[in-house]
Amino acid sequence: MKKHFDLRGAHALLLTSLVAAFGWQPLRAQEGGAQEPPAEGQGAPPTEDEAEADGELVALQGGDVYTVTQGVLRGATVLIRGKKISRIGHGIELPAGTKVYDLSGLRVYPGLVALDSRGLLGSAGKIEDTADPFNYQMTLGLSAGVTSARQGSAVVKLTRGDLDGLVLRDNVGVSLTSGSNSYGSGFQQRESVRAALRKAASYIKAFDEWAERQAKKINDKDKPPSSAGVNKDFVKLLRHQEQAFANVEDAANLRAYAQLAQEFGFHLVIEGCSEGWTLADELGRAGVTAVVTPRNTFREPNEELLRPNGYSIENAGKLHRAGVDVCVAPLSGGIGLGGIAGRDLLNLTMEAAFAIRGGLPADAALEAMTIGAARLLGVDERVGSLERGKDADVIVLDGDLFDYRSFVQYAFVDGKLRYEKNAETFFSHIRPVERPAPTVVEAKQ
Amino acid sequence: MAMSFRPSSRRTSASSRAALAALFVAAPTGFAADRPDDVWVIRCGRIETGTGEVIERGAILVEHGVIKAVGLDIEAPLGAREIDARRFTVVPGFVHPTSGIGQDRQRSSGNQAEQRAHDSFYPYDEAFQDALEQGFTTLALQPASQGWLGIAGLSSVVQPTGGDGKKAAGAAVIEKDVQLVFTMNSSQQDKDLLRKGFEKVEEAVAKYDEAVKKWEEKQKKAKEKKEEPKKEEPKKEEEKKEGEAPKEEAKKEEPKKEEPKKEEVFEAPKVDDKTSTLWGWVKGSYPALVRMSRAADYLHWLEVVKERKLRVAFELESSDSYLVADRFGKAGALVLLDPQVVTYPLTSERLNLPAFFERAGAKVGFTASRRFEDHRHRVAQVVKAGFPREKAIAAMTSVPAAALGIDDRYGSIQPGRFADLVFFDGDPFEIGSKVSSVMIRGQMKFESEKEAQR
Amino acid sequence: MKPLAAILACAFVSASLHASDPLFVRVAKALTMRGRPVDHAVIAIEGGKITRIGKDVAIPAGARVLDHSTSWACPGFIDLHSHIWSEGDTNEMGHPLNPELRTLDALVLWSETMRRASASGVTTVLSISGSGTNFSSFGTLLKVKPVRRLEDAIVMQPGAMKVAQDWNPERRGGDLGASRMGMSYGMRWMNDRALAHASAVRAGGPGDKELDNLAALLQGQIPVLIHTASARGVMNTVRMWHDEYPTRMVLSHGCFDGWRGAAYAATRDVAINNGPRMFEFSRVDGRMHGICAEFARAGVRRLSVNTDSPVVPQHELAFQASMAAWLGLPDYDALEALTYWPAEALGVDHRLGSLEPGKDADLVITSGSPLDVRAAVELVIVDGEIVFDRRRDGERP
Repeated sequence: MKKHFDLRGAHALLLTSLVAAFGWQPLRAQEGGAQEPPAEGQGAPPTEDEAEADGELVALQGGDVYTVTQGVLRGATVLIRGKKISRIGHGIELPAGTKVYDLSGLRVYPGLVALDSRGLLGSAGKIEDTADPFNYQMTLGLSAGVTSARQGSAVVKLTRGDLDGLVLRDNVGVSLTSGSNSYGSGFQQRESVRAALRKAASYIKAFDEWAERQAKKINDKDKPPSSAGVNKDFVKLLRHQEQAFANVEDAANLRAYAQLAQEFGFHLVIEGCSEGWTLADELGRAGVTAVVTPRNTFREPNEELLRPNGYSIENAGKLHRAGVDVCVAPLSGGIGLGGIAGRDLLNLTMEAAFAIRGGLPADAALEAMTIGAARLLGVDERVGSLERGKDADVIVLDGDLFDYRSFVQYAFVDGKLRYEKNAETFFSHIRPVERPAPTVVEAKQ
Repeated sequence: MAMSFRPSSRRTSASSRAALAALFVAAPTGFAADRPDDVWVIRCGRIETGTGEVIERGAILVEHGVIKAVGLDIEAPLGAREIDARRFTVVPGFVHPTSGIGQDRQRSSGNQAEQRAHDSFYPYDEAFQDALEQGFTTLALQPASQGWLGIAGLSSVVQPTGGDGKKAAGAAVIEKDVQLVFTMNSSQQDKDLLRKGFEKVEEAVAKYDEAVKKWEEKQKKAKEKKEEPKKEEPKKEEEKKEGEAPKEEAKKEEPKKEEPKKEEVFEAPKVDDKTSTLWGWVKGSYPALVRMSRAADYLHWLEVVKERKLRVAFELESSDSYLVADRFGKAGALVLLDPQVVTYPLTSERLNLPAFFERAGAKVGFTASRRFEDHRHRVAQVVKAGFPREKAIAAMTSVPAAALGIDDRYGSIQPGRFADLVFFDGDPFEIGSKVSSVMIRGQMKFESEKEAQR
Repeated sequence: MKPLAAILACAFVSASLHASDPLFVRVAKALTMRGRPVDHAVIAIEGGKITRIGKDVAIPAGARVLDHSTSWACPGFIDLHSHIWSEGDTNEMGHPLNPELRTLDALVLWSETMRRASASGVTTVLSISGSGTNFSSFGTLLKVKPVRRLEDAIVMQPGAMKVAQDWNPERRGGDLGASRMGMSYGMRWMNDRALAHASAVRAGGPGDKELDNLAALLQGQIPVLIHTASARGVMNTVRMWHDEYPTRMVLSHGCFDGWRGAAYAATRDVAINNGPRMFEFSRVDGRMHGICAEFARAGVRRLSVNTDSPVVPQHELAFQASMAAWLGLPDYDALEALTYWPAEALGVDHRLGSLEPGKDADLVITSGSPLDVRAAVELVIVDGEIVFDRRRDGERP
């Protein structure tokens, strides 16, 4: 006799705690001021009118809706009009012609935002001209619940089958440890960063003073300060138009970068951060955001060091408790089909589940995968939560997001169904459950 | 039993053909012999017109190499000769829309729009005879036969000549510059080529319009001076003839010099060859063949083309193109495919790509890039696997002709088309059926060995 | 008194606990893995063994009780495919057939990696050689606990012999064994020598260090663990080690499309030990095939999972089972794959693999299902001794 029984009911693990207060507010183009290098960024958020504009109507009905920012609405409806979420709640009257998905028993989440990805577009080069939105890696990305992802310096949406709307934004952040502003992570290099930041700071000071004089029209022949040799990206950092990214793992460098951020007052996103748990309080005070991989097994502890070191799955939890905004990245941003399971983007939620095991509250983990990551990439006005007026990027699961058995049943991006488990070969044979076909609301007689 | 209209075969041995090769001169006019007795009534067992229509026991009236009438009740004009082909199924000569035979084995990349296929054409490639013997009467000669990327240039139309005791078998260029060919991959390079190409064309058009406007003003002033209403306009109207087939003067696309008066000549602004070739396509003088390898390429194509209305056919090379079949279908687009059952990407599940596109509403034509001997049987396999039989002949004839923009003259058995006919001794898609004879412009260019021995 | 070892800087000292004193663990659910789970169970431990388990185990006044009444208990996890105890020193590449070798000679006592594994519920491992040669050595079955003398941790020595049959050993271009045929010939040749040797010993002949263990293996006294993959490999392995040479065999890996040979294993009730690859993405049907799920579907019941550590970290053994379950293996089968079946496969199920009176007191207490990635390990007991206690050690492994 086989003894198959459900192990699901008995465990009441989900830790709850208050929603983490995100100290850092998304940095937007600064108001006023003289003309500086303009901030890269997305357009204005959609107005309600836009959300009400024409577009196909799709209702996701009866599921438990995890809005992320506005709690959980049991058995609620998400009404999508065109590319946007039009309404969320109970008792929403559905206009004639609305396509209705009956999602009772399922869970509805905002699409996940991956902070690091590789290969989802099936191409390299200028995204707009080379992306292959039919590439199977994109399909697998959707199967993992990912609807937006950083790819290189851009943030893309997995608009499978379409190029429209694929690029969400470009030029995310200023990296201090790779790319054109790279100074490396050693001491010497860091001093170079410091010198460049000083230069940028004094330029800003001189520029602002000049702008003030201009405003008062003190001297017509007054010229603006020269920007020669000034790192323009660093000017953006110091003006809070951009945030800095640094890939730093060990405690010494973490401390140094945190100090740098505090000294110059820019916002720093630390990627890697595997020893962050050993100086969580310091990082918390520096107001950094950390992108951690709980199972960063590439940094095994060195037993010869006389201090705590190496990775720990408690990293995310400890940083969170110290007030650090925490996001989670998988061990690999690609999707490997070699057979090793649960270590890359395909099981992004499992990495977060390890963070939960290590003490990160479940709701903080959910934020880390959604609105937190969106905020970090400066796209939180469009994606990362289920809210009226936001992009209709929605995933529907047959269980909890962090349960190892859960599968994404549907993924919508920009209001369009882009992935359906039962319609694709990849996973449809695993625990198959027939889903009712969507119905269409008929016009009232 | 055999077709009883020709006293003897013109077929020669391969060796004598080779020996005479040097004497052969490609002569486009050598086809339609303009003799009064070149009027035939061909009584057929079955005619598949290449447009989907099937006529049992019909007849074809051919005058001077051109089909004049097709139907059940064809009366022979006075002096016409009757051909008894009642044992045969007659179909239009097959059209190979993407041939590289006789073409330089060169690679091409970047914008090579000024290249003309006929400039590097070798007419005596033996493959032309192979093509003829399998019923191919029309081949598009593409510039740069191998591995072209970017914009490759303009194709020509060639027809096999067959061989006889005097001349070697081969092919002759019949029409020049019928179609622009280029690749459209999901790459910045390919997209930029097109973007820049369009930009340059638009610049050239603007300059031309400006020149015309100035010219007109000048003329008007001159007219006012002389108070004579005599005026000639430059041929600006040519630009408005969208969709018009190029006939044989396709290369006269550049704005022409005008001679309104002896002393005054309209000077059209100079345009480089690459731009003028693209201009010809943009204004519809000839179509383009766009070669794509992935479904995504189509999206990138749409992104570059935007609202422009262009004459195009698509050659699709990868099985994942099924993912955009509905978009081709909605647009009623013309797609050229290898006649083959493929597999869905990532699986071994069979996918009849031609049938898939056909069901989606696209016009499907076949390329013939494999051995000519196998072509008909490869099409037969696709038919067996679900491609509609009634569209199969069209997919080998009138559709590829339409892709080349020459379907008003080639590719079907209809009045006004050249009498390019293939006589089969059975259903062309039955494994045992053979090509018995092939007629090009009213002349028998091939008769099977069996016939020859008679 | 049998004091716990204090070996590393992070070592834990527990002078108060005497292994011989009775210990009672109270849990919300005990997954006994033989018989139904018991809710609100008490597990009584004495002398390193489980003495009683059930709802109504009487706890004497003053007895030592560990209250984990919101957590789950299950038998310690067993990994039959581990390389970390020999720290990479596992391949003697000189000769393809080495039945005279044993990993015992390469084992270390303890390390941070092992501590992490222990704190994650791994209580027993089969430490084996790599797959560079066909017969690489006899492995050692070890308890995962800090000891002063390695012998105190050994469950079985010699443990199973490691055979590499497919997908790795065949790279020895130019030697005997450049192809599967050559390798099979070599293995049969050595087996036949060992069998002839066994007959000679029975007839009163002398022993032979090279062949004694192999002879015992071929007579069913020592198990054999065979590294093999792909459908062809699975078929060859079952044919050789079940049909031609009846042995107590465990087929390890079975990766890539090995599951397509599952019927071979199912009809002969062969033990399968899957890992580190848990799925095959097939370009035949475009599907993600959970390898365990497919073996189970074909009727294989003796299923276990491995990490092939360090390929997958040793402490993620349970996660391998979670992934098997994600890909379609029923939950209970996935739990058995961590506990009962690996014990049974090596013939040590009389001591390990289930929570039953008389068995070794190796158990893992977790805050939820052991397969739930979110569930933290609370307590790990090996041979009745606490090797990890979250409350005491202050960490979540």
